[in-house]
Amino acid sequence: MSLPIARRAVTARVRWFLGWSIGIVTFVALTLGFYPAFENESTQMNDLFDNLPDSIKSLVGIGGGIDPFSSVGYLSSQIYATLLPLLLILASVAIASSIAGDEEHGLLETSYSLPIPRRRVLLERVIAAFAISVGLSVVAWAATAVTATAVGLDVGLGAMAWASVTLGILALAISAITVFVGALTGRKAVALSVGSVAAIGGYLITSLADARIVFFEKIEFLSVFSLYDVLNVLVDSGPQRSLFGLITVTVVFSAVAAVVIDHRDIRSA
Amino acid sequence: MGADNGAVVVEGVTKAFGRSRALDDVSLEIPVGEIFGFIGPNGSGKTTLIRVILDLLRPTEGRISVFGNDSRHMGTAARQEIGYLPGTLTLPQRVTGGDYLMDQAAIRRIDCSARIRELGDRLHAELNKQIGDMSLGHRRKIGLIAAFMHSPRLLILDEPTSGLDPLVQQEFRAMTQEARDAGTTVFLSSHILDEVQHVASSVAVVNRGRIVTAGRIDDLIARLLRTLTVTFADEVDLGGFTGIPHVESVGYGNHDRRVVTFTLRGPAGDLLSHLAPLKPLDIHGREADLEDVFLDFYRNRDVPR
Repeated sequence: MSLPIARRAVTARVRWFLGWSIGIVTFVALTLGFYPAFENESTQMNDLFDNLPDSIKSLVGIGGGIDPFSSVGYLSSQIYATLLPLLLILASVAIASSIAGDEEHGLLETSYSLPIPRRRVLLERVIAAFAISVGLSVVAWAATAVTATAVGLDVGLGAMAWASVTLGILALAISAITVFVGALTGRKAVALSVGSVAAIGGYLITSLADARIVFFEKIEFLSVFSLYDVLNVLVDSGPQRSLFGLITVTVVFSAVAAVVIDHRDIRSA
Repeated sequence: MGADNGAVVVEGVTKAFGRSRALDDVSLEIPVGEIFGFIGPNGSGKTTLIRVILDLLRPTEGRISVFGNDSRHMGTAARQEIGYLPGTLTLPQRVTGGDYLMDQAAIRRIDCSARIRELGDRLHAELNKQIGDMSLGHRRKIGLIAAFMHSPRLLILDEPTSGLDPLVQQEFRAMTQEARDAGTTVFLSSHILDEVQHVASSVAVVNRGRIVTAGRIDDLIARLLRTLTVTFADEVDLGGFTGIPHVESVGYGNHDRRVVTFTLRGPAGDLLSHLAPLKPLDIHGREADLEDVFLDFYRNRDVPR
């Protein structure tokens, strides 16, 4: 099936993709590059962290009963719980909100008047946004796998691959929420804001719920991060059931976006 | 007004944005195979009506049919028959004009490559240049090619010559007339009256979301208030010109009592019969045009503003 709108949307982002890829590789390499230094001082570092409140430890990705300076603990806390979600979700929300941005700037005026349904235009753009996010997840996995192996982290490539898949689908789920808000309002600023709140707010809620703060435990169901169980993915070297939750969020919000775009006025420049 | 008679039939369409009405009970029929001009000042509702016809906006009230299909439920086959040039044309920056047009053709599932080259040559379009590096005029050329390339049955052109140089404007007019000759219906929205008069046979004048007049351009001009300036050998008394049919006002021209200016609406025969015995030295009347129709409706009628 030919997807000219998706193909063009991807090719228009090649330079952008390369820029983000360089950023991800650089941050991953720098962060993991420090591991040998921490590994040798893990006893002192653990003593230091033991004195921190649980909420602070949870906010910086430490918890779950895992030594944060073990291979799995370091990879989880420093890469998959904080740095990579931040970078990937930031990039994904930016791309997802650009669909509404293009509508506001009039770029979709001609596309929506072509002989294809509106939902097809939207879904092709969603496919393009997802493809770029998946591409960045692959870059993140490759950078992590190469650097982790180089610095001697004892985590299998399969575990890192599943962690990257889980992370990629988390990014897609938040993208889908952003796309839905963009499709509902046609406003980039609103889509970007809600997508960012879903990401940052979700991260805070889940971190504080993990620290056993009752209020946040009660509202944790609102957080998409509650479905992001990357520590157990790394420990078990395989996917967790919560991955289906992330896939469901992605599919449902994308599908509803395709429905709502058909029921409102298209914005013009 | 039957839905099957015109290429586009607009029936009682109102479009409200909050408390403001961009279109107010608009009814219009665009005959098949005609070039139909749609004129009005900025913000009068021209683009809104076009976007409702294309189902980009949903009417608050009323309905529109395009070749007999309800615009709200126009299928892909009906949209295939439409070529559209938006008034504010925004194109992707990092793609060549040729690639952009080929993408549009791919979505339409039509091989338009020969037609793209032909139209590109006629308009001197820069098909191999990135759109982001093009001037406004060259971007409009890409938009025009996108509208014409699949030889649609209905062309909807919103301010089509904006940003084009006079030579390209001339080529555009030729393309529009060729399309009409091939049976295409053209809906031409513009505030450049000369452009509409050159190519259109019928016109609708819109103001503040309402159609203030519509019809064939020749008929509208014939109904127009015209000015006739008559020069006599000697000074004349204006009292002798009262009661002449179709003459709406009489006055001296340039403060010279030998020059009399008549404004008349309708045929000039009675006035000329009245003037003949007075043996005027010169009679001068300027031919009215679409601009006069437009200005007449905006200045002299009770048009809502």
